[in-house]
Amino acid sequence: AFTPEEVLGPGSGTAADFSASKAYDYNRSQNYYEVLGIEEYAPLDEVNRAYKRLSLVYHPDKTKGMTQQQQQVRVIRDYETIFISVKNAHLVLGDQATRRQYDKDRDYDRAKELVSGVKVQKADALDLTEVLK
Amino acid sequence: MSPSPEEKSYAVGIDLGTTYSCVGVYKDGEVQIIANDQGNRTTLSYVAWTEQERLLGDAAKNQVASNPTNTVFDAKRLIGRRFDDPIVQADLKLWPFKVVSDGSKDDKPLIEVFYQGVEKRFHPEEISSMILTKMKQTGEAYLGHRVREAVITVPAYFNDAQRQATKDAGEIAGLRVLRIVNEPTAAAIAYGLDKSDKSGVAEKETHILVFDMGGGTFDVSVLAIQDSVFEVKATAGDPHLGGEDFDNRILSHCIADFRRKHQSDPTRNQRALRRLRTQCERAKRLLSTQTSVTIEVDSLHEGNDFSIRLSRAKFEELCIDYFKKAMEPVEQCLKDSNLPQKAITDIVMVGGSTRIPKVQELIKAFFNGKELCKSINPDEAVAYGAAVQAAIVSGQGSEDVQNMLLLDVAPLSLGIETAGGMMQVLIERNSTVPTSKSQDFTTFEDYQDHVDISVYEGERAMVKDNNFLGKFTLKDIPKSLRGVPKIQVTFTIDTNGILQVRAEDAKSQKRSEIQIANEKGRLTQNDIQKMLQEAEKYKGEDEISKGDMLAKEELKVYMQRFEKGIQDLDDTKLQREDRERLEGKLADAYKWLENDGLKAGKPEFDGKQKELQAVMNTVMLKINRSQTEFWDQQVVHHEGEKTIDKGGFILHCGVDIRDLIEDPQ
Repeated sequence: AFTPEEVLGPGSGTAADFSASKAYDYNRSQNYYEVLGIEEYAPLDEVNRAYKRLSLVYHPDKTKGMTQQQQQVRVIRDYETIFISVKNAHLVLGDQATRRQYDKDRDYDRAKELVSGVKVQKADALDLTEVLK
Repeated sequence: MSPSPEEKSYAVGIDLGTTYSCVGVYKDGEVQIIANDQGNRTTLSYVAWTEQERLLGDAAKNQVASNPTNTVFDAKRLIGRRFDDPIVQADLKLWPFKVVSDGSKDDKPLIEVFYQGVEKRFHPEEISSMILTKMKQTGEAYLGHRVREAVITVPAYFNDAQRQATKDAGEIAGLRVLRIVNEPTAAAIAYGLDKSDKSGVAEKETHILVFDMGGGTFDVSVLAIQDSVFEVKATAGDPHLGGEDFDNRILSHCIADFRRKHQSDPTRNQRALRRLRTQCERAKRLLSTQTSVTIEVDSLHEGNDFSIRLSRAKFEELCIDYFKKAMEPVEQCLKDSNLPQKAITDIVMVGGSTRIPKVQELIKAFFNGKELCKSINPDEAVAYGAAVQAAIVSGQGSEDVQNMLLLDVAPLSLGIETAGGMMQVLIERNSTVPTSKSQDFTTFEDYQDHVDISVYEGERAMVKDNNFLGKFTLKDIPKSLRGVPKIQVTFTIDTNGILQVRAEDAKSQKRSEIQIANEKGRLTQNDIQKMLQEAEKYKGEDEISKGDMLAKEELKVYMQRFEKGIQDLDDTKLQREDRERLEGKLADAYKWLENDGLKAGKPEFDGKQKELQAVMNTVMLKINRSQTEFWDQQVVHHEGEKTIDKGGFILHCGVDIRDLIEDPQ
């Protein structure tokens, strides 16, 4: 049988999650699932793995093996920006309480969209789904 | 990126320890720990000056008994510290060599030795650089190539001054320091590689705790390992705990025994002390495998031989408080990592002192009898990991290594000063680097055209309790009322730990920034630890002072409104005597704020604000009723005011009795 504990890990699925302090002050209009390139129902283990795998690609240390040309400052800067986005996405989705609060906020926005027909503005998304494949 | 053959050079990993150092290199798909010219895989961190020459490593220690004042060790306990640091002052008493202050503002310690009849002074960085040179030469002798680059390890709790000083030592030794890596993190890499060799790369995330107790330093780190990515979750340590402290305890025990037996005191005899210390250290090592040992020194002092039997139980009794103290950082580290105790899959023991059975027993008991991981060599693990990290960051090494990654953290919280001397944290402790964080701030006063941004590091609520890093000014903000301008402050830390702070005014797009690149003269390591401990201890106190500050700010804001209120009222409405009274009150309040206000608390500030409100209310009431001339001539409110001055209370829901009486006319 399905229990939140199994999917999300021990100690999750309690009402206390909604009053817990956020691990990261997220932007509710940003799709962090896309940043990590994972499904919305991905278990915690998968969230962590996606973060690790993207870190292996985008951590600024990984520019060291590149040729001189690739190593230009601009590339390192870009890598740093992407890595920080990935890291922040992991802060939101890797913490059970924060993820539930974020999901709830997004559900609310979606419901509002359905009921009122007003499109909720979406933040510029970084979609790394392809990278993991 | 492979250099051309004639220029071929290797990047090595160096574990620069308090008592021993070790060097490793990643070559042909594996890590080699390199033995020195004596055939030892670890080299003593000793430097000595004799009449003829300078000696490094094992050679220096071999002649220590005959030349104690010119044999220098423990440079790691001095590096990046101030001379007046209490830890330095305490250590001074135990060292046979002389340490003096350089007399400058930074109060740096200098080590004084006699070499070829001349007095010479060295910075601790220079001593460390000599040891690093020795390690570099060891590497070059083995590789047959120049060694130009290195990764050097430091204890995880080392602060920026100490890290920078260590980096300087590397530069002095002619090495380009690719990265300063935390010792427990390096040990974790060694563990991770060892594990993946045996069981393939771990698919599932595992958490390990590294317990690193060496000659002079003690560190604990919790890491998550998955897919060959090593993520540091939390780190803690003790600034001054290791094998040397245990040696000192045995030494004191022996001296006390010698005094009792021979009625003479060997503490002034440096040569005797040195000989005895060497035997004490040997005894400590033996007690890890034997249950008792005899310490013997012939003709120790004034012709008296010394001999004592030391049991393991006695040794444990002598050092038990140290062993117990070592469990505190373990607890702290687990707490910071937000992990339950049972989530830790392995406890990795690194550093020579983890061989002590009692230490193993205590940590085992702490984890409810869990078996400890002893598969990696406790003396070489750190250099092993450093060698791997050197291969990663220099782009050398096989594909295996290129697929590894180390995610390290910022050791202290970083923030800026806001109104009232409060610390606003932007980047929290244990945040993974690189990282970036923005927050909006605004002006505190009307028509303010510039803001000062002061950057601090530390865990306390008030900036005065934290460590100042740097300051800059954002100028030419378009003039407007307070609270209107929007100033965005952004903190960025890159992988090398360099902090950049930028401030930008949203309206004018004016920008100003500062780079804080591991400035020297930042915290002493003692301070970090003290700050962390104090932060815990003073958490309650901070809450109170936070409340006090808020009340003070509220009072100030009210006083500004009060002042503006008086100015806005013209003479037709506000009678002269009333204006004088209000202005007098305000001047009193300002004076009070300058004097008594410095030590006042929330109740006093609130009380003062109520007092001002009361005067203002009576005057405003009078203005609003200015048509009823009769009441203007009554001075009833003066009485009420006096009552409040004397500490009386204001009735909030009171009814003005004048409303109940009909106009007499």
